[in-house]
Amino acid sequence: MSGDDNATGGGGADGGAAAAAEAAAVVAVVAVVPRPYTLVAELTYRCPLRCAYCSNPVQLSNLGAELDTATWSRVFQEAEALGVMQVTLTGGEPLVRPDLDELVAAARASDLYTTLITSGVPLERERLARLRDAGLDGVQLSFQDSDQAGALRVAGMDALAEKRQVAGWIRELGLPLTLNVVLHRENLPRLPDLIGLAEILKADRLELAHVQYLGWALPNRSALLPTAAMIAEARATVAAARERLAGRMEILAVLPDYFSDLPRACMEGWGQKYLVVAPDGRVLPCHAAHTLPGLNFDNVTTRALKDIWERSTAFNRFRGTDWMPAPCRTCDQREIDHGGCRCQAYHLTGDMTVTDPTCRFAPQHDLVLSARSAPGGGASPSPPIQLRRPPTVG
Amino acid sequence: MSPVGDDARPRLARGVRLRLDRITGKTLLLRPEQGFELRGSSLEVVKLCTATLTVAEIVDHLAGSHPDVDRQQIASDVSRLLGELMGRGLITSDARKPEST
Repeated sequence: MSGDDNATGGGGADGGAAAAAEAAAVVAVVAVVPRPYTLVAELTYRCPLRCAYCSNPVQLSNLGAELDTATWSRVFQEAEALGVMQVTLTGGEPLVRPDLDELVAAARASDLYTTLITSGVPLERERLARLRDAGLDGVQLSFQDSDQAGALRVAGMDALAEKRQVAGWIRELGLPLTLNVVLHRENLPRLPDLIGLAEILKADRLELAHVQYLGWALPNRSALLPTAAMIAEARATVAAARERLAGRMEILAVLPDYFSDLPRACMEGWGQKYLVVAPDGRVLPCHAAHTLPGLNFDNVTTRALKDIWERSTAFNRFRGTDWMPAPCRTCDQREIDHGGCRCQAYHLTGDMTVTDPTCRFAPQHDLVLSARSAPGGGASPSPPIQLRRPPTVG
Repeated sequence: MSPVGDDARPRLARGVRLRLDRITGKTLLLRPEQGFELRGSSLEVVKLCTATLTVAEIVDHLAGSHPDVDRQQIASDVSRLLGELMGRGLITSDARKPEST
């Protein structure tokens, strides 16, 4: 998500010229196939919340089976062997998996840094303690709003009190706590309260991510898209909070690409650093890639992860720059933003091979300009929100 | 200015752990969803951040294993590195003496 923070730190010089030459030779050979650093393990699409901006696919009728414990354990091993060092256990809500303790233990057995991404419901202190004892490294806890009515409206559930309690347990058990808040037109006026909430809960990090208009968020765009003035105010609020909280709480902020006029480097490039494994075992370059037409995504139950990553048609489809259309092909940003988000290109234009329309140079940039010039029409009452339908397990 | 005093006892911050990258042979500091590569001598310093040694003792240690390098230089390098790592929330310190056991 906030990939630009995955930078390298530290000082000091590297080895001598001979070592450098050797390293360069190795890089030249290996560079053909990138190396994944992070495995996003979507353990389930089931979730007690019904967030109107959920990134899970809108079509969930064919939920199918979920991978079992043994298969996930094998996926963790295969991912680690490929170079993955971080695994995020996500969903849906991973807590609905009764085998979560075992999955955490399996991830740690593969020496993966293991982060649980959760809404915090349903959770008891004893279970969290078991997860920690199984080797859990960190927890990212989502808050939909600082206001009960707001949370109910956008997520179909108000669990504010439960979430605050869970945050307390995370701290008591000595786990690092990241608070995650997805920002949109409805909760942006309460951004100062949300930052205050993170302070009260003594979060180590606060991740503020604007809605990305994919999945359930796209049909809800007119209700969720903020105005340019709201974005500007949020920027100022975040800048002031960063200064005030320096050294106490890190604030990561992801700006909405609809207002940046430049596309975001989605997943840091297609098949570059991230591997997503969907609940049914399909291996994807991003959470929503299986909504793209005509791409056949392989499944970990039928093909080795290494083979999928290195050789599958789908993973190689948008690697590099050869696939790019004009104006990306000759753009000096092409190695930086990789042409933007393929899913966004498809869901806005019907063509997954065009420049992401959030880019100011995209032939279809007017699709984004018109959307942002009239978010909700500024009218009251606000447009209705369509909550995510609860998936049915089939 | 130095953000860390000579009597501070630096240690890895909560949730931060060292991990060898088996593919590159380099060592990283990992925390939720992020990784930071430790280059050159920075790994040597971080390995001494165990909450038991003070910054002054860390410098003594390094001066002992690098007799060819000026101690003042080591002290200033250590201070700069710890300042950077503390600024990123990767290292924290406790000025008090640890509980004796």
